[in-house]
Amino acid sequence: MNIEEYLRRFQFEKISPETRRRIWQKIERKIEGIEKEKISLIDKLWNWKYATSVATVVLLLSIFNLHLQRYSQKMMPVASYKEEILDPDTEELFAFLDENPKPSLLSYLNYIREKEKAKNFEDYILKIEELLG
Amino acid sequence: MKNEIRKIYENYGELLLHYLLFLLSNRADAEDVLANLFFKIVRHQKRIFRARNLKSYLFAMARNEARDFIKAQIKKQKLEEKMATSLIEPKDKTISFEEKEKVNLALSKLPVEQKEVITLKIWQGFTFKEISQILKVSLDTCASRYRYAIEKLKEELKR
Repeated sequence: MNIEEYLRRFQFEKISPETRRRIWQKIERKIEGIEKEKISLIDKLWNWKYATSVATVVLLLSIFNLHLQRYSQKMMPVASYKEEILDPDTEELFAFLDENPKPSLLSYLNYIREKEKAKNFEDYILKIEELLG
Repeated sequence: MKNEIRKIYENYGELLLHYLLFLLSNRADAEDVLANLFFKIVRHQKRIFRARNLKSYLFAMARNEARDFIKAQIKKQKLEEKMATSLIEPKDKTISFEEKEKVNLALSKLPVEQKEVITLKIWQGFTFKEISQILKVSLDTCASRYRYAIEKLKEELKR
């Protein structure tokens, strides 16, 4: 007897439509559970996300605004010093390098600014002296 | 989502239930495991819809689900002696009721790993290559399990 051929003369016992329906209802309940779970999670996330995202945007905007103000204040005088950097007085530069063996752009700008202040102050004194005769 | 899952259930639900019946030998357990399996299918649907061979993938999932179920039952010490479930029936009326019972009894005496190769090969129509992917064993192992099962069934049915 060929056992494989013999076994092929059998088939799985039929599953009744009621059984199929009952199992599908079980599955359906599980799917609905997952969907409800997802919706409640999305709700929670949305509320949580909404609150935090609004707070974050406000915070970021205020920080950005603050930085923008500071940056514009700093950049205004710096812009004029740039000309000096582009065309620096060689002696002045060497003097600066003597004082600052490892210069940075910022320190150089500060140096120039101090110089500028001093120059303005000298002009101011000279003007006062002129007025006083 | 529900419609896609329903399609999978309509196409493979019954085949998967038969396979689980073979593995678990208990209709209620097999139905519960099948429902849990579909719960997992819903959860991992993206991965499942990308599977090259959906049928093999589902059978591999069913096997894992049944294995986890058996493990949980052992942990809970709930693995009682179960009534042998009738799994197969004759296609035509030339085979008697006694013969049918004999075949079912012979099948129930097989070790699970041999029983599942027999069901996957003979009644689910998988190739040995597909069976080896489902069971995560080599082709040789599949073939030898099948051979042993056939020999045992032959002996049982001769009696």
